[in-house]
Amino acid sequence: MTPVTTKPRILIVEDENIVALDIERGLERLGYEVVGVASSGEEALHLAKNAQPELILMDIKIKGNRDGIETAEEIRKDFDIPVVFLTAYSDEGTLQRAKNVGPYGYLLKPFDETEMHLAIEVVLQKHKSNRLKEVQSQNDLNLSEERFKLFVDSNKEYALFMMDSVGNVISWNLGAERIKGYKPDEIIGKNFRVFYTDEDRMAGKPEQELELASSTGKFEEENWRVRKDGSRFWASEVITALTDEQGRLRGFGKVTRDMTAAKIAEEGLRRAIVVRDEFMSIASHELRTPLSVIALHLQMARKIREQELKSGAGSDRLLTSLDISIKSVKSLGSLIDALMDVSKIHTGRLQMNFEITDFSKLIQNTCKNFEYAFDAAKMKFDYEIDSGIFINCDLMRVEQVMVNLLSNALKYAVGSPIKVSLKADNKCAYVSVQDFGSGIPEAMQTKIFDQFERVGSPSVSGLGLGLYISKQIIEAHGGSIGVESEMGKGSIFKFDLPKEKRA
Amino acid sequence: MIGSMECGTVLIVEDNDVLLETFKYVVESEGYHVLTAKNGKEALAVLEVTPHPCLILLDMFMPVMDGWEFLNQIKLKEGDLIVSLPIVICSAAGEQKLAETAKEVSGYLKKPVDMDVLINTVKKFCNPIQKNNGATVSN
Repeated sequence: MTPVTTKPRILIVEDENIVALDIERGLERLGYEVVGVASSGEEALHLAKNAQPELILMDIKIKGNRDGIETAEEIRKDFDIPVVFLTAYSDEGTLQRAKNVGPYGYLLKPFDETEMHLAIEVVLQKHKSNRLKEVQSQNDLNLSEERFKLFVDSNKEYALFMMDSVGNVISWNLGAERIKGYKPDEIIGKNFRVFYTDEDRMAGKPEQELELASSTGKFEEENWRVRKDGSRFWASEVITALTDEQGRLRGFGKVTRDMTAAKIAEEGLRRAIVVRDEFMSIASHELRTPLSVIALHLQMARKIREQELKSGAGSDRLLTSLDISIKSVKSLGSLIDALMDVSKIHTGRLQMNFEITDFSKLIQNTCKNFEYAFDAAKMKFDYEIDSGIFINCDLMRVEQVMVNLLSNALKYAVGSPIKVSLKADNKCAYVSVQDFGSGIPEAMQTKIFDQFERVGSPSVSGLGLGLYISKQIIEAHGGSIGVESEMGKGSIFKFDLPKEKRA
Repeated sequence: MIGSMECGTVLIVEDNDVLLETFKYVVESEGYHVLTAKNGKEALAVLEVTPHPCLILLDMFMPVMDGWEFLNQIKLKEGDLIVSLPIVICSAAGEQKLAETAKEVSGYLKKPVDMDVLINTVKKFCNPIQKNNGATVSN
């Protein structure tokens, strides 16, 4: 036997004095300290409280209203003291009852000192290690709860909060504060309905979501939610029903992420795809129109020539067809040029060849070239060009901008008079092209300088690239281009170019 | 022939000037009388004067009034769900929308239009005003 180094304190509960004394002596011999002897349950309870034994040797059959097992149960409610039962009964029922109390051992009477010593030591050891485990696991639990709480409280990425069973907010973390804009004291106790849009509240969505969460355990969705300041954000959320061990609903946990940035990026992408697809359809339509003309005229030319060869006669119809075909090939070419320009812009390869240019002459000539077209369209066309303005620019590219603005005037301001003006101060040259047409809606005024955007698409012909390319050209010169327009009154397209290219 | 003035008349609706003139040229060369319109609105105005051309060649994408709106207006006018005038729509894009519209009308010409296909389409719906043996077209 290992010697007992410290003296464990033992309470004896035994109503037969001689047996009690015998056990007491035995215990002392084994090196234990007997803190008392009780002969009834009541006495045992009293001593357990006051003498604070570390172990109780408990006879099952004792005096009083309670037997040993009942007394042990009583004691266990209040004190964590291991019990070794002493019993003369070896019937299963009694032993089972003793075991159910959850204590640690029993000795069948009669027992000798060694048996007693062994039983006591085993129980003490078991008790000690159980206790250690409990403390350990409690510590672990405390630690992980602590960590979890810290994680929840300090998490800024996620709004993590709890609600009671009807959706009133009962906890609030930093993320919730950041995403939804409420301080804890502003929201705790309030119903989570305030996070929903008016439409969703009207439709009863908050209640439906709790209903779904409680019936299926979880509800997930992505949708618009409202911040404290009324602004909307795209939320990805999960509502989890929290139930107790009996399965009764205790409340809800809610995790929300602000996915607005991702949503905007996604919609931007979607929009870009739609715009691109629309453009592809417009481009194919635009390219096919001159192709139709060319194909038909070449077929007609062939037919005419065939007939001429048969009849020996000649006509200028053949020349007309060929002329129109040649013109259409040119317009096809300029459509392809525009596509190439955009491709160059996208890859940063739109090169400018700067040279000192007589800008007055350039604008003057371009306008002159349009006189015939405006005349044919029965549109009054005036230009007021200050002479002697020289700037450092890419002549071809600037001409391209001017041609684009005049073509647009011809195309969009049907029947309206057109006025062109060129002025300059010592820094810049200023060009404006004014029409008195239907005007451009405000929402479109900046969009028309984006690629593939057109006013009144898709019925008006054109690729919708002209103003986009023009803007890139003007900006490559360090200048700016824009439009002033009023519905029903007309539009003024303006651009300015620095005389010397800015760095 | 006074009583049947519109016999042999084709109305071509197309916003692109050059293409419109080209269609006109090809169809006229087969001996038909051609009326032109640059959008749906103009076409409706032409129909006010000449209500029964033997064929309308209709572009769909046009400014002011596109082909679809033109078809709606005709339906409203005739108080009918089905357009009873012989109309052949003419467009580049092979969209679903066009395919559906094509079912409502008499036919569909795909751009770029082949000369023989164009001529045969017109021939299917009307007889030329003057027999043209193909030598030259008298204006």
